[in-house]
Amino acid sequence: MVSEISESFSKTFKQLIRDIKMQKLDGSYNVAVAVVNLFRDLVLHEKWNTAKDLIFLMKTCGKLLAKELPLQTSAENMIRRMLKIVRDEYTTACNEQQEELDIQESLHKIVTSEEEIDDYSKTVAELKESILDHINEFHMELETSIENITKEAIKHIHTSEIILTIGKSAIVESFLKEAARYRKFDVIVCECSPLKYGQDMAISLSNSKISTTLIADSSMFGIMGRVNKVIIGTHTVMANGGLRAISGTHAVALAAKYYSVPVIVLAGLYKLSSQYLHSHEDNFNQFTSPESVLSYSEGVLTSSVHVYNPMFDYVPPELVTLFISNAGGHAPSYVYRLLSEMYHQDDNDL
Amino acid sequence: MEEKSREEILAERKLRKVAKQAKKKGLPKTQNESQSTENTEIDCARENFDKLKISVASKVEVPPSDSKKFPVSSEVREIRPANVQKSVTAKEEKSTPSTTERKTEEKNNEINSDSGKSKAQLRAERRAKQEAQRALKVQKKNDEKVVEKKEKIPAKVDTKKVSSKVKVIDKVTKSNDHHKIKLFCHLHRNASIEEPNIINSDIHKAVIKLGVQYKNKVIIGSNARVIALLNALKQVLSDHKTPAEKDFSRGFELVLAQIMIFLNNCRSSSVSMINAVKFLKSSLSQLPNNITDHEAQIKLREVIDDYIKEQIDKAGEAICMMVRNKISEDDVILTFGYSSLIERILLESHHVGIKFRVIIVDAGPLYEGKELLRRLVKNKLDCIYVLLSAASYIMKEANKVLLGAHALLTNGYVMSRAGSSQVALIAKSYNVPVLVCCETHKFSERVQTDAFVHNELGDSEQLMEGDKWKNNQYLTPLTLMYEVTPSDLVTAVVTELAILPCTSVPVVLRVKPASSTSL
Repeated sequence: MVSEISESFSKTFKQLIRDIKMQKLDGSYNVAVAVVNLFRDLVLHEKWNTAKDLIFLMKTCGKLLAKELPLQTSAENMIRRMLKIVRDEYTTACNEQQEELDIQESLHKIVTSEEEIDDYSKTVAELKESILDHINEFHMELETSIENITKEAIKHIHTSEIILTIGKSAIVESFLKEAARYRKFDVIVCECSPLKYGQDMAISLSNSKISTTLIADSSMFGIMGRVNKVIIGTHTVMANGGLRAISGTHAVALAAKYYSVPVIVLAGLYKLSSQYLHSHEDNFNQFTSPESVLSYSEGVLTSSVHVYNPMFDYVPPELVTLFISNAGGHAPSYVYRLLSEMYHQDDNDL
Repeated sequence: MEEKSREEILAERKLRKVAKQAKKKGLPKTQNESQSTENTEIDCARENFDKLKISVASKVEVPPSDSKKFPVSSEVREIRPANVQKSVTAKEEKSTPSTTERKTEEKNNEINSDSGKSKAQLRAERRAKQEAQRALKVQKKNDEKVVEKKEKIPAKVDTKKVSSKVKVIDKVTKSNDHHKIKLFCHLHRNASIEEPNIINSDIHKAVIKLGVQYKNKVIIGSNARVIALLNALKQVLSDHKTPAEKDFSRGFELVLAQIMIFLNNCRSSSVSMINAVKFLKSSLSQLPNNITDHEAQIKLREVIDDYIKEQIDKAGEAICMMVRNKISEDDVILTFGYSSLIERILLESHHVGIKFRVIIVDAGPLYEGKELLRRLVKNKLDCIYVLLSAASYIMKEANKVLLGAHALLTNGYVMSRAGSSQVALIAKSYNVPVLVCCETHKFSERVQTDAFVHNELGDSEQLMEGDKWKNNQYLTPLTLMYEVTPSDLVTAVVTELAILPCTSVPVVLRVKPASSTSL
């Protein structure tokens, strides 16, 4: 039996996609939470009998979501995470009678294990309840992720440090504010022209009595020589540890590398993507209106010039010193391991 | 024992008043010399005052604060000359009281033997007196501040205006103190120094005009600035008259120095300007002593014209030719901001018939690249325009980076508009060669390794509207005008002599003086 998505669910699903597209729902954290809530509803209200059915349903939704919102990687990530939860709960329930589940998939186990491909079609008792429990647990984890990251703040910022950041990131903001409760330090914010997110960030930080300096993008390299740490947020962490971050970040990371300044990236685990993309690929970037780069009032000029206003930069993993996620700090080289823990390999292609 | 009662102090004051009135009436000062200590005290104080008065009258200086013991503010103001300087007052305040006190002490000691008072008593009296003096002084100071605020220093009309202006500026800078970043405190220009220089100075009006243009960034770019300076100097030259019994070269050198100080106050001089003036000075010193004004003017005008022609124009032409050979068909040239030389290179290469595209990377707060874009588009060049944050995105399309420079430093670092280093850095990460185009007249003997020591601050208002940060002491916008690009980010420097590595600057500088003096 192949389940179909009910009409009411597909309606809310499409509404969510629309909201994200229209930027009514903004920020990768909010998107992630919304997607998790959506899938909880799916598990709860849709008709399904076996884990196989459920996985099929979720994948159908996931494909649509990935197609409609190619840049909202956190939404996609959440689907993969949900799928992993379903798979985990199923295997746990199946193996309960036989043996205790070894979460760690050791090389020995992989080699010696019997070649039995489970297609998740067995009917397992109380699967729904355990999946819902697990999802709720995950929801909690998501909610506390920012808090967990900010808790690390005082471990990374010492007194009278000069910290440089770029653009506006909610997580960096709360991270610095948390550190400011215990330490006195200076923050330099790159303006991030033409979108000028840096201005909002600088105002917000200064309102929390952190001594903040807003600099033009052009002054960044000159100032980097005196910066102790670069702390940035990111839109996505790629599977290789590279970043898709606001445009201008690559230059910041390069300058930091040039002056041997550590670059710390704050990212909740929900930003970890299983994709390997870089700036030359189609799905990577998003372009916003060039109006802010070259105003329409320039007249003739605008008609004879190509103007670009890309949103993102690709930052290669070798420029990143450290990731701080809700699971602690990791080197970029460790990202692959986190990936295998969080997502099931069968879900890499939805 | 330790402190005198209020009544006693009051009595003392009264006595002093009496003494003062007596003095005003011109009574002989030695009247009741052998009376109580208090009286002698008054006398000695009066004596001091008289002495000081004389000294003040002779030196035309600020009355020392000692006189403030007496509530004679009206008199004090009479004596005070028009151009009082606060600092002088402060100095006097510090130095005089101690001496007068010492004097009174000596006097007291003399009296001590006469009147037979106990030492302890005297000491107590003295202490009480000093305390009273101190209290009075504080009161007096406060009074004076009020007076100063209200009526200002009586002086000539124009200087008064200036001083009030200075005060206003002072206040502004004081309130903005928390908007200064520690690392850049030395770069904040003291706005109050430059104002009074314009008035009452004999600086040529062409130079004043130039200064204003520099200050308001009407003339920017090191080539434009040096050409404007040399043209202004030509005007100054033709209006210059050597004062009697003076050499032409000496006289003009003085004028030149004055001009440079003035212009430096408007905006710190560019390296190109400094080099040009240095060259002019050396030509001045080579003029014969008995040269007439007219001859010297002709000669110097020639020197200036030659400098513009050889060092700037011809050099530019040579660089154009060299870079043109490096631009091949279907190239994509990336450039940053605006440089007159880069504009010339691109336009000439275009006119020769090479087909290439140009990517202009621009950055705030000046957005000079827009001007380059406008000029290139006018000449039908194929252009892409992006901001600095998108440089990393667009760099993969470029296959050459051409940058202008403000100056080349002896250690091989390139001083240029802020943002250039970022472009060079990104270019390096994409393996795109970076060519810096710079005439040798911009080579400097200075060495610098960071953007902090010697730099210029941009206008913070252009970065962020004032009302967003002026009232927020924790927020400071900052823009730098220049930065130094380390030589390892630059592939080569194109000069009129050759295409060289950055590190060849000292070699060029060593060769250069000979060639430039031979002009």
